[in-house]
This record gives sequence, C-alpha cells and structure tokens, in this order.
Amino acid sequence: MAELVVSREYEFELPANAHIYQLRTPDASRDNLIRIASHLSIRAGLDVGSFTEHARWNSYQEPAGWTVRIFRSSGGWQYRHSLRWQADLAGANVSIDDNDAQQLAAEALAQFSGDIATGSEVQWVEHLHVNHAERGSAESNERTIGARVRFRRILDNIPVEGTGGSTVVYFDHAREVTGIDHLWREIDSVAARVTSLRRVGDALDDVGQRYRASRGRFEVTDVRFGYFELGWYDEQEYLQPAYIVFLRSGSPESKSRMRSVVAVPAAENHIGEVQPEPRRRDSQPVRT
Amino acid sequence: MISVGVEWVNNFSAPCVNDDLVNRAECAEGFLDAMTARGFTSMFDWGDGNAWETDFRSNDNGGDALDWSDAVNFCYFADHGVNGGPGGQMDIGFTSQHEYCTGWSDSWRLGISLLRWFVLDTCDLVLDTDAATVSNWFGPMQGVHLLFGFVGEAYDDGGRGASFGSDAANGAVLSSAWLSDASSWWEGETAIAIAAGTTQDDATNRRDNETINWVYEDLPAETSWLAWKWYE
Repeated sequence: MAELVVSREYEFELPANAHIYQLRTPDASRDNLIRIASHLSIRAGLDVGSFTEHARWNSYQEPAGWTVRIFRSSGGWQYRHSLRWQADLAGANVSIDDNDAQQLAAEALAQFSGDIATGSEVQWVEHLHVNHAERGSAESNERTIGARVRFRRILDNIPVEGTGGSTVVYFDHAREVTGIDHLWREIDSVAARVTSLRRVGDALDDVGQRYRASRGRFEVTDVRFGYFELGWYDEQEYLQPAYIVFLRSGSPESKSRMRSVVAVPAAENHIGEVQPEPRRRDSQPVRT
Repeated sequence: MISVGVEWVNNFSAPCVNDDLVNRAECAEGFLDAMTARGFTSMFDWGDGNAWETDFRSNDNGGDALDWSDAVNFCYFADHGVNGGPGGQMDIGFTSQHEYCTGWSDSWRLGISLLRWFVLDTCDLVLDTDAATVSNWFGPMQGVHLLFGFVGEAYDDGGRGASFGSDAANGAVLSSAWLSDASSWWEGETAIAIAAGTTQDDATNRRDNETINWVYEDLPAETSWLAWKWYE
C-alpha cells in the first residue's frame, strides 16, 4: 500500500451556510441550445446555420464562425469562434495585463444576458504565447497573442473547486472575445443542510484507500475545502462540500514526480462520493 | 482512416522502480475510446507490463517503433516522464524491462513512417518554453506533425484523454483542443503543443490549423522549423 505523507495539520470550520444541493438534470436539448445561443446574441435556426447531434453533445454553428456546444452529461456549454479562438492572427504581439484582462472579461460577460458567472471570483488570468525556432538557431520569437480569464463559482461564500464550477473567457490580440466556456451546473433544490464536517484525518484515510493498491510515496502538499464540481463529460447528481487533497509523488528511489488531486466528501452527512474512482481494469493478458 | 495506439503505465514493480499512478489508463483508454467511437481504428492498447520501451525506440537504434508507435497515425502515451538528460533528453518510465525500464527521446525517430501525432501525457515534455529548450525536439521529431505534452510537472488527472479524443476525432484544431482539454485547471499545469514544418509558415500553419484531416500530409524526417504554443 502506498505511503501517504502528511507534514502538517489541516483543519476547517463548518461555514455558516453549507449545503448539499440536488442538481438539475442537464438539458442539452435543441431548445435549450437555442436559448443559450440567444443569450449570446446568436439567432440559432436552420435557416441561418446548422445543428449537429453528437452522442456527447449538441451543437449549433452559424455562418460567421460562432459555434455553441452543449454537453449532454453536464449541461456545460462552450461558445467559440472556429477561426479566431486561440488562433494566431495577424502576427500580433499584445500586452494585456491581468487587471485589463479581468476587466475585459467582466465587461464581456455583462454584455450577455442570462446571468453568466454571477456569483463568482476571478481565479486566474493566463496569457496565450506562441514561439517558433529554426533548426540550429536559439533565436526566440515569442509573442503573446491572447489571454483567458477563469471565473470560479462561489456558493454560500464557499469556492467551487474542480474542472466544473467555472466560466472561462478567451480574448484575441484585438481584445475581442473569441470564446466562453461555461461549466456551471444548475441547482435544483437543497437536499440537506451540512450539519458537521468530517475530520480531515478521516478524509485523508479515504485518500489512502484510493491508493490502497498502489505502491510509492505520496506527499500531501495542500488540502482545500470547497464544493466540488466535475468535468464536461461527467454526470453529477449532488453538489456538496469536499476536501480537495493535493498530492505529489516522490519516493527517494523514483526519479519521476507527478502531482494529483483527490476530492473526498467533507460533510458528515454527505451523499455518496464527490469524485468517482478510476475504473478498475482487468489485467491484460501477458504480451508475448 | 486514422489508426490509433495507446500505451500507459499505472503500476510499477522491481526492478523498474517508480511511484505508481492512478489515472494513466483512464487517460489513454479514454482517448482510444473517443477515437474509436468516431470509427477510427484501434491498433493497440498496451498497459503496465505490456507497455515496452522498444515500441518507441527506432528500429535503427535496436527498437521496434516501426511495428508499434510508428505504425499508427495517432499515439497516446500516459505515464511518468522526466526531462533533464544531457541536451534536454526526455525519459519515460516502464514497468517492464523490455529491454529497458526507461525509454529515452534520443533513441526515437517519431514519424519516420506513419506517426503524425504523439501525445506524451506525462510530466516534462519540456522544462521551459524558450527556443533553445524546445529545439531539443528537432532530433526526435522526424516526420511527426505535432507533439503534445506539458511544461514541467503535470497532474495525474483522468479526464483529459477522453476530452481530447472527442475533440480531435470531431475535427477540432489539434493544438487548440489540447491546450483546452489538457488543462486540469489546477494551478501550475502548463500544456504545450509543438508543431514541425519545412518552413516557418508551414510549422506555424500546422500549429494553428492542423486537424486530423491532415493525416495524408508527409513531412520529411529533417524538418527545419518548430512552432509551439502554450498558456502561462
């Protein structure tokens, strides 16, 4: 069994208003896609553009290049310009500082109806860089061609951690929006009020259990408390508090390192798990 | 028709010592499932002891890449990786000593046959993004169009393979899809896509526009340009 190394103590107080929320069943129907598109100032219809039905999403593309895609499992959506999103256009080299980017992103979201990312905080700003090199030359040709701003959902004054619970706004060199990713599951009702938190030590035991079949040494580098929301392709029934445990592998005899994150329930009265365990695989027949 | 092969290592055992991982199979097989769901051809799925370094080592270096990694168009490898050898050589770990516990990038000739796109879902594809560092890939990239990975340490996250596979299979621009899908959104993880080209325009065009529909484009083994992009 893996060795879990915890070098400091973690303790969290129960926030005043922590809940376990029942989430709404995602609606990836064409009607909902049209509704979202209209919030984004796109009039979606077969007379204008085209709909595509995929096993994992529905999408609409209009002739000017904007695409809206809604995911069946999560209800999250992506609004992107097929030619301009993350593209290197016109040899641009822009300077957008973090404050500028945050302001641009907030203004962009305010333009759209539908209360996108209401109740959020800026988590980070990243800049999109490009570079190229010729063989035999170490000359650097680095340029910055855009930026993206991630808003993190805040619920009951508690941050939402994970791939979900976020809105990301993308800009190009001209400071124009080229995409918005919105993965923000809708709440249906309160399933329960959180009455007390589990001990962090018990949660770390859960993490150890997840690594029960593994070998190696894993150092806990941080533990956070927050709601935990899964990714685009994940079904999720409840949104509930979690301890988010950051790990880093590092046994002395191993020259490789890798980080990982495991989320485990934080509420004593949690409902099920907050992060599914990786699928167990049958051993492959020995290759000859 | 695109052909796909994946290899992954979650569990290590002596004499090939490394810390175990949890989500490497999830990533590699998630990618494979997404590609095959679109009708592309699965050629191999080798995990743990069945993943061999000879599958990546070029035949003229004594390996068997022409029968495996370079016999498919899209190869996804998920495991430990470490960069820091002389000249920026990258090493990837194996649990099977066939023939070695480590594969090293200096022994690869990626794309000499059919390989067009190679994902190294590991740490340390590169340690930095400057031209001198990334140029270390001029050697191993011998016809492969695009290389996908991370700058420095990555997370052992499970979802990125399926996301990237879905987007790639459905015709997304590969570099943009990787930068979006590979981000776990935890701080400090930097995805990078590196394109090769015969000219500067060719490399940047490939970086910015290539989809799997470019599978039939051949690149010579000695390309003169690399172009890459990343968020920071």
